[in-house]
Amino acid sequence: MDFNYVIAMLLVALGLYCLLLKRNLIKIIIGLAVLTDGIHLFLISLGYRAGGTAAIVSGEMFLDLPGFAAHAVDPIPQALVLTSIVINICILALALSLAIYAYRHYKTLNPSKMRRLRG
Amino acid sequence: MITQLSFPILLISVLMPLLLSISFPFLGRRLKPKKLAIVSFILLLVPLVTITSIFMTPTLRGGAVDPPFFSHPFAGSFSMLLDPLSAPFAFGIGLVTALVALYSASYMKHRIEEMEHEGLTPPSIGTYFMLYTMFSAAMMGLVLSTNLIEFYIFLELALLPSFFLIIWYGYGNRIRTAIMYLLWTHIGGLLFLLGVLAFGSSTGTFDILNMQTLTFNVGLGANLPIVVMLMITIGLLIKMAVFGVHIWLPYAHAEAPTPVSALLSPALIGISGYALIRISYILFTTQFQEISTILLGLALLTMIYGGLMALAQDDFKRLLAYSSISQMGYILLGISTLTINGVTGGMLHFMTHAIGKSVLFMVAGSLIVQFRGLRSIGKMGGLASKVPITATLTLIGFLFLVGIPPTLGLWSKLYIIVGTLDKAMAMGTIALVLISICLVVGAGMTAAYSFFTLKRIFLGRTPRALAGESVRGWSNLTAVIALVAIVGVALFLYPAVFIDPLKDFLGPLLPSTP
Amino acid sequence: MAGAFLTPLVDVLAKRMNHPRARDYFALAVTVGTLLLVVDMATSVLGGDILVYKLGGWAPPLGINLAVDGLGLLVGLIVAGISTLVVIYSFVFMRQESGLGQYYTLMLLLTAGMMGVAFTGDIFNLYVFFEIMAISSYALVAFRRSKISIEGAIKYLIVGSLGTSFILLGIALLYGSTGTLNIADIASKLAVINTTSGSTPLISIIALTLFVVGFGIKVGMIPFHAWLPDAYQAAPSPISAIMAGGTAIVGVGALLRVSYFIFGAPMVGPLLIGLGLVTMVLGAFMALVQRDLKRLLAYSGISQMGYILLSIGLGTALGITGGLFHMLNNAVYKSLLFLAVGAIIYRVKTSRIDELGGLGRKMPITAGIFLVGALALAGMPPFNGFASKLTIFLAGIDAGYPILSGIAAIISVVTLAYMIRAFIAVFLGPQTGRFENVKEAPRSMLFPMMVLAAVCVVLGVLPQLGFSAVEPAQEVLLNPSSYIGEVIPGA
Repeated sequence: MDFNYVIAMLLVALGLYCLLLKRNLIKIIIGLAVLTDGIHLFLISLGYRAGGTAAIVSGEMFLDLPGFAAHAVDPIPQALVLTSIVINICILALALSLAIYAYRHYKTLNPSKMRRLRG
Repeated sequence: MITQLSFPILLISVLMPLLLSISFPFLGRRLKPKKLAIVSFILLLVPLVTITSIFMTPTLRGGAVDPPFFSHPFAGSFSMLLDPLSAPFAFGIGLVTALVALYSASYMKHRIEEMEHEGLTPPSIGTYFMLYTMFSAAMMGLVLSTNLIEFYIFLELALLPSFFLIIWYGYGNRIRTAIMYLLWTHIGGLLFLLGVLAFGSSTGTFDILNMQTLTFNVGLGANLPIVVMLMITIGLLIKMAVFGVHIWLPYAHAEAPTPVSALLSPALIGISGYALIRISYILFTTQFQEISTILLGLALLTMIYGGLMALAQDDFKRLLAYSSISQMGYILLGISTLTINGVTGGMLHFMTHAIGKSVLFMVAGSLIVQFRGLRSIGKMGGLASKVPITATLTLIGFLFLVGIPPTLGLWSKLYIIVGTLDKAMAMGTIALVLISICLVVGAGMTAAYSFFTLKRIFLGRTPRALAGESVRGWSNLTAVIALVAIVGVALFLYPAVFIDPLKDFLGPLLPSTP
Repeated sequence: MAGAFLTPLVDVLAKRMNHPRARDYFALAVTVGTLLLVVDMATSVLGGDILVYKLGGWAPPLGINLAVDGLGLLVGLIVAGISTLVVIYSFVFMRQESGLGQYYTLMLLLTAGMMGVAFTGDIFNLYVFFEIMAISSYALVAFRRSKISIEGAIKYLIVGSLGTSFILLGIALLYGSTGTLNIADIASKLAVINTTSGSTPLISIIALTLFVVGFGIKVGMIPFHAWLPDAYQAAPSPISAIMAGGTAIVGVGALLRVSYFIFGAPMVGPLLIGLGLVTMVLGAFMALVQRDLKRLLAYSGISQMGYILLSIGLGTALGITGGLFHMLNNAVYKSLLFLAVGAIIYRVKTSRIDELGGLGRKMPITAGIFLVGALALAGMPPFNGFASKLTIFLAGIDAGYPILSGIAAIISVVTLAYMIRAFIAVFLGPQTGRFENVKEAPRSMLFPMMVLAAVCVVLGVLPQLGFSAVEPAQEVLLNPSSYIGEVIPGA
């Protein structure tokens, strides 16, 4: 259980490291993906309950709702993570397309060499 | 006693020129400069006439205040007040601004032609009159305001148009000069504002005049730290360009277009003297008394420094600018004595200086027009035979500054000196001797630069470059100057109009003279 | 009612197939419609109500809800007004560009995101709308696909995504400690936790830090500002305007909502004061040395943001009023200035200060409008910047930090210096031959600028209007319990 959190934080740290210290756009974008995945893992772990059932109520489960609630995993983080994944796909797609354009213009993926804007 | 008017007539008389001035750029496309000048003159005559008629009404002698017209969420109520203290200032400003507007037409026509000749494209003369009228009306609003925030707003409203007047129509390195002028005075203004806000936040009011009881908030700041008072006073002193913070003045006043110099130099900086009494003294009586001796020293220093620098100048307008610094020393001297004669003299000297210095600046301007940009005194000489009327007017202008009859300067200088000696006697023998020496030196200096300049310009041999010039002796320019001078001389004969109410007003406010 | 933000969202879908002309007016109709809806809500919110809309009929804290309080309304009003004007401005400005279908789509999406952030009552939805806003603004910055726009966009994207990830992490931490996502509910539960444990748990402090960094990046707070000048310079001018006048304001609104509601003033105040002070001072000095007009405005925007944060951080009623009023004013004159610079770029094709000069003769109306904006920015009466700066100075003194007011006043002089320098360099001075045939900007670009300039004057002359607009927002920030009570009855 705690293991999850440790991994999540490691992923966040790894992502941050890539994002802040790497000098290649592709690596930076990978870092972004890793960072958000770490956060997703963290969110999912929050709602996870060892041995819990899926939070879908059907059939006779309606008869024992408190009992069901005591066993089911928390569904909200799952919903959040799903939404967040979709959002991150958009961002990654946009980031990659921008990286392609950047490469066409500058013939490099090193953002610190893109220095048309300064002052 | 102050009477509350039922109708905000003072406000209207100030706002009318301020707002209507926006139409000048559009009028400028249809009307000739001379007609524009007349419109501007009429607009500025409105406040002058209003003020004079209110002040001449015996029942309103003690002061008249508009009903509060604006109440700000925390700044209190804004109103306008004409009382014996503000009357000389309002009258001086009204007179000078209205007449200089007439003077502007020919001068600015010349100036714009000159600039176009240099390949520059200054904004049209309509824009000039817009800025000019705004500037004048804002100064009028400044002396009439009853609220500290209102005072600051008018301070900035006067600053902005004058900044643009310098940057668009000025001489020399006008952009640098204008920026220096803007930043220095803005810093002074902000210092003043911060002090005001600190004051307002601890007393809960920004009103100089309590609008309910129509009495002054005398000594409101008795419990305030002296820092607040110092901030307000230093802010005002920067605007007044006393010694130490005067650096911006000679540039700004010498390089501004001449009609604007004629307003900037005597009127705008002198208003700070008014504010010193109206705000620093009335609101912070005890603290102001504590620093009055320092101010006295500063005043003497400013007076002598300005005189010395004026003696060393070659540029006529720059000389006048330094002489303004010196005259500010006189005003500050009168105020810092805190005796009834001294303060009355200081307030009156504003008017003397406004009339005298605007006459001199206008003379400088007409020399510039007549001799195509001539400003250097070294290149002048023997002009009395060419322009006798201008020479006479210059003489009168300098008589104002030196304080020789038949000018108002006699009375204001007399009161200042009497007041200073009163104060000096109270301070002890050594102080008396020192201050007397300074006074003699200061007065001598004024006389020296006045008459020395007069001689260099109008007497002696005419330089060859000017010998062939033929100029008209009488022009529209000189007519306006003469009009200003005549009013000044008339006031010499009836100074009691302003002096008596001033004395009645100041008497109860000032500490009794020993 | 609170569906205002949905309108642009829905209409985005129907956008693609429109005829060019129809598309322009369609975008305009949508933004005007949004504006009208917000104004309609204004009457009841200004009366002291808080409008709550329960999405899908679920009662909070369970369902997703929208809640329009004073703060949301203020931000929404600014956003809707500026978007409408920017759409009008874009008609002519963007005419030569290709792919205008995407442009307006993204613009409406951006507006929808901003409205959503302003009105949402749910912290995760706040994140979602924030991402919508962010993604569309990345794409808009990159819209021209030129060298600099790609560079600006990619820097913005990397730093911005880092910011939003921090926000998400902060939300996750808050959810972990309270088990709810409703802002009102989180606030009341955290308060319970704080009182029972007697101190603030470490986890909330971490979450707060994450939020401040995350939103700080979006707002351009120093030291998280590096992307902002690049992005503003690279974006088309209307987009710079909407980012300076809309996105940044939304960022402040979200920061305030999250930090003030959830963590409370005493905890956030000193942090905001410190960051605001640094931002204000450094931003102004950076602006002083800029050679590009848009970059100069970007840094000055950073500096003004410092004023806002500083003032709100004071935590007094006057401070919050001053900060919010300054936020409103800053949105007005900063977008005005960006639009004016856009007009210059439209006619002259450059925004480098040393290449410009003497444009005042050729473009007198633009010059006048720019001057109004510049003076308002520098806090000169009678424009709106004066009214709010005055309030901020007074608030600083009132709260017992006269030194802050002093620094703010010094920075105000610096502001005046760089704005006047820019004005002189661009509009005065000798004319270069290149600009012989330059004409005044087209009318449909002047119109939005004139509206904004008029607002500058009106708010400056009648500051009561501004005060009454920010007062409900100030009350909400000062006393979040009314909001909490309104959203969750009985909490």
